Amino acid sequence: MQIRRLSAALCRVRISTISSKVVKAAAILFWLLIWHIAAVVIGERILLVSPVTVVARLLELLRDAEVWHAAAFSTLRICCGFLLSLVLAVILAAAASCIRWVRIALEPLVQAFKVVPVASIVIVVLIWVSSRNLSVIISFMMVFPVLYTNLLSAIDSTDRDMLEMSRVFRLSRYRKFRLVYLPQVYPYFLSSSSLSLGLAWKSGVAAEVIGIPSGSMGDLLYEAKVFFATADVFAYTLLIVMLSVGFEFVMKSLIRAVGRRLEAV
Amino acid sequence: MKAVFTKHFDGRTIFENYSLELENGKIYVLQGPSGRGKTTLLRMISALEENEAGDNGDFSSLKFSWVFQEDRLSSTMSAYSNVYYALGGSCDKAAIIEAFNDLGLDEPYKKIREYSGGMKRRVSLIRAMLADSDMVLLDEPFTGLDARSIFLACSFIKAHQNGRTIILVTHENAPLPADGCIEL
Repeated sequence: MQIRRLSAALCRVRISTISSKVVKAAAILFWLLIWHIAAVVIGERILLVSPVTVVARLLELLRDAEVWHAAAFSTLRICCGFLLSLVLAVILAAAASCIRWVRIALEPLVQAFKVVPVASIVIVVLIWVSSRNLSVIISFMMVFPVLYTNLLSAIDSTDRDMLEMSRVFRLSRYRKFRLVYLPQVYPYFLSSSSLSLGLAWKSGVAAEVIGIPSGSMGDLLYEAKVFFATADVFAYTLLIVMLSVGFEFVMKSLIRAVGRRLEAV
Repeated sequence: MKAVFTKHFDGRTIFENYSLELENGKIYVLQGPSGRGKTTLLRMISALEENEAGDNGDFSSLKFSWVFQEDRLSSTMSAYSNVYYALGGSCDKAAIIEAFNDLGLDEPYKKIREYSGGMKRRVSLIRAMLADSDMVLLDEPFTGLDARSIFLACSFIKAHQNGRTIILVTHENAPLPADGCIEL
C-alpha cells in the first residue's frame, strides 16, 4: 500500500516536472512566434528580421573563419577579465574582512566602479591602454564590485556560534576556513559568480562596440550596424548569447565541482 | 581548581562572587532551575563570557571542549568531516569511526543536514569527547536521545573521560555516575 502511494507521489512529481518544462518551452515558442509575426508584419529587413532568418544567417556566418577568430578573441579577453576579478575579489574580500584599513581603502574604489558609467570608463581606459585589451579591463571593473561586495557581506554574516566553536576547539586557519567560512560563503560565491558572468559578457562586448578593437565581436557588431546589416547584428548577438551561456555553464560546473569536493554544498 | 565568578546581565545579578571549586578528573552535574545561569556559568568557566570578578583563576590555563546547547555543526559537510576538522589532527580516522559506531551512528559520511536532531547531538558529543582538552563541558548533550542512546552516550563519556574533569548539564535521567553536584 505504502509502495503504491510512494510510486503515485513520484509519478506526480515527474508529471509536474515535465509539465513545467513544457510550459517553459511553450513560453519561449510564444515569444519567438510574436517576434516572427512582427518581422513579417513590418516586412522591412533593416528594421527587424525574423528568428528563422537570424539562425540561417548565423549558420552562414559561422562558415567564415573571421567570425570564429572574433569569438575566440572576445571570449579569451572577457574570461580573463572575469577570472581576474574572481581571484582579486576572493583575496581582497578575505583581506578586508580581517584588516580594517583594507576595507576602508577599498570602499571608495568599489563605489566608484559601481556608479561610473561604462561609456566613461571605456573612454578613459582607451586613453591609457590599447583597445585590444579594453574588454579585459571593463569586464573586470564591472564584475569586481559585485563579487567583492557579495563575498565580503557573506564573510561578515558568518555564523557567530560557529566562529565561537572554532575558537573553543582552537581550529587552525585552514580548518576554520573549511568548517566555518567555506560552507557559509560558498552559496554567495556561486550566486554572485553566476550573476556576474552575464555582466562580464554584456560589459565586455559593450566596451568592444565603443572601442572597436580590430578582430573582436564588438568590431563585427559595429561593422554590421554601419552597413545596416540587421540580420548580422542579430546573428552576432545570438552568437554572443550562446558563448555567454556556454561560458556560464562551464564556470558554474567547475565551481559546483570544487564546492562538492570541498563539501561546501 | 578554584575561581570566583561575578556576572550581571541587563541590571540583573546572575552571579555575585560565586565561588566554584572543582577536583581534577571528576564528573560534576550542574543543576538548577531554568534561567538560573547554568549555561552562563559554563561559558564563564571557559572564558566565552567575561568574568566581572577578574580572571578565571585556575580555569584560565585550561583547554576546553564543549557540547553547546546548539549543535554548531556545518550542515553541508559530512558528520565525519565535522569531527575530523574540529579535532585538528589530534585523532586518527579509525578512532573517529569507532566513536561513531560506539554511539550507534553507522553512516558517518552522510551530510549533517540529513541527520536527525538526536544524531547531531551524538556527533557534537563525539567532537567534544575526542578533542584534546583538559575539561569537557556538556550542555544538554542528551536532548532528543532515546533511553538506549542516552545509555550509549553515558558509556561513551565514561570511556573517553581520560582523567579529565567533566561538567554536565542535563534535564534527562542519565545513568552517569557523577562524583559531585554543582547546585545553582
